[in-house]
Amino acid sequence: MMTESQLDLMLPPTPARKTAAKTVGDRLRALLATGVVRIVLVGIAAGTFAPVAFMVVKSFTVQDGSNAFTLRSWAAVLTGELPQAALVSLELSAIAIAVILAFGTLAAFAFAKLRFRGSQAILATIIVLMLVPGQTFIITEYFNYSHLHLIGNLPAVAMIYAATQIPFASFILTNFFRAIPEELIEAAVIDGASYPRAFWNIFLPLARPAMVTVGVLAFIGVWNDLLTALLFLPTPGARTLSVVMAASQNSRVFDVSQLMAGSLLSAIPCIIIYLIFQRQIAVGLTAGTGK
Amino acid sequence: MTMDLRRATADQPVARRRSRPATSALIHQRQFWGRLFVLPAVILVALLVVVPSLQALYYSFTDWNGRTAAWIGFENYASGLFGSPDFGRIAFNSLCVVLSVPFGVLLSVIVANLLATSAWGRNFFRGVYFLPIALSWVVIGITFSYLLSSRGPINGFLSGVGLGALGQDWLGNETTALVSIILVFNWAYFGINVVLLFTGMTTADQSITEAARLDGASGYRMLVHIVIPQVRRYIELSLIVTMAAAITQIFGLIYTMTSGGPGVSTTTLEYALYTRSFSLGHFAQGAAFGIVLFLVSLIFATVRLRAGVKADDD
Repeated sequence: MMTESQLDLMLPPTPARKTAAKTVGDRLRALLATGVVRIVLVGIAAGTFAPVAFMVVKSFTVQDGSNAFTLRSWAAVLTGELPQAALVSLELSAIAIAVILAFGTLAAFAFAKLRFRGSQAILATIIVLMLVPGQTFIITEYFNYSHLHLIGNLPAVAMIYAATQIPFASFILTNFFRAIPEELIEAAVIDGASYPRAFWNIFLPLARPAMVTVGVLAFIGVWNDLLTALLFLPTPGARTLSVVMAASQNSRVFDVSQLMAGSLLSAIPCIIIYLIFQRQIAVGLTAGTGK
Repeated sequence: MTMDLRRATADQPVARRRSRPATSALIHQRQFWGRLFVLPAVILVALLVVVPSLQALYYSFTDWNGRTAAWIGFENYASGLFGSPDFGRIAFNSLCVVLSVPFGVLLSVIVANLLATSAWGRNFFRGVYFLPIALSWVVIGITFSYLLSSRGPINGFLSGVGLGALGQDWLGNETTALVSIILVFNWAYFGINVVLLFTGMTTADQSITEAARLDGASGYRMLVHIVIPQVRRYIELSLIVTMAAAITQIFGLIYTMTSGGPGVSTTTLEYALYTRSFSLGHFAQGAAFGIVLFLVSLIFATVRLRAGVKADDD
């Protein structure tokens, strides 16, 4: 389905063109083009960064119109409800990540390397479950939890995050384990290692990069979630950062300066994680391209 | 080979092809540990995803109010969803957000291409563009609702450059509120898509690009005839991921920016599920919205799968 121009473009370059001397006009045009590209790139970077910069500046300025520097908002935010909420968010993500990684690596290892009868059917089901949006089951889940008196129970709510992310985690980890040569497990088992030992001593250490990707994506997912936390952790001491921030936005209790300080505070852990693991996040996002 | 072994390896073509010294005891072990290893994940997902999803499917055909449920057939879908006076506007809002995605992705393609062709400060820009992925919808929503408020900096800027007449309460008007949500959503996904597409462009076969460049192709022609065909799979991925997010993942943004208002002017299907259930107490209708959301996700996935199959064919 190639057009003629495309075919032309695919021909090997002619030496004449390659070595043609550049005129001053050509150089000027190239310079101008580079300049325009750079201006566009900088402009877009500014557009992306401006709201964040705005948050930083606003969180340090007085709200009486004088725009004087102040640490009052940060002091108020740090002595208020947010540190407790940050602990809740942290605990929630830690439990969820631990469960996702433990259950996810075990299942992925079995799918990729143990291929017992029915394993591929289970894997296919799990991949289909990646398509079910959380909203589909959140209402019935809410009533199930409510009947079992688990609303506000932190570990139980962390299990919801784990269950919703395990399909994606198993998918990524299975692909990762599949890329490890079959001979490795055969050799280990022939040498007398049991399957659990082969998993623990050989495959788990190898899976570390994939586990980092899964863990980082899970952390960002749990930390930034609003809907589940809003419904399942409504009690004052058990509210997450997102819930506290969203509530203060709606009730207008905070002033803008405090609101920005709080937003930044809640974003800082994710920004740090992002700065360290940028590459892993990108890898996780492109995992869906296949091949 | 014993009978037992052949049966056990029936669904393992790889294992069958190799003639390796495997005893039937080993195969049994493998079956045993395999099942045991997937068990925790399967139980957790079954209990917390599969069971409540099936419950939701059932309850969407009843008049469920949280306690009792009587079968009422398609009533929730007929009068609660598609027949409700708000539904037209809600579906329109969801559609607007979804249809804005191709424009956002197109812009991402152009910028990713600029980034891929210019080595200047590449890592720095990629880092900055990608940053919104670390910001939650709550943080983004809070920040932009202040930026867009009637006494906020955007109106301040407008009056500063002599366009004060354009200033207004952007989130207080039905049309501008929806446009604001759409723009902020695309702002947040712009950089993520740029990085995704940039990855595709830099991992694509460089020799074709180089050959075309030496042959004098540049700018627009280069982008349309060389770059876009090369990264087609990445563009599809960007489109599907962003559209799926537009349908099922922007609750936090709407909650903090407009709470679905004014009226229902920024209520999407996803947000309607929340208001129907937890503000109005129509849990059965909420469950029906959940099923509709699942069907929409399924359509996106089918389109993606189709696209993938087509790419494998050529």
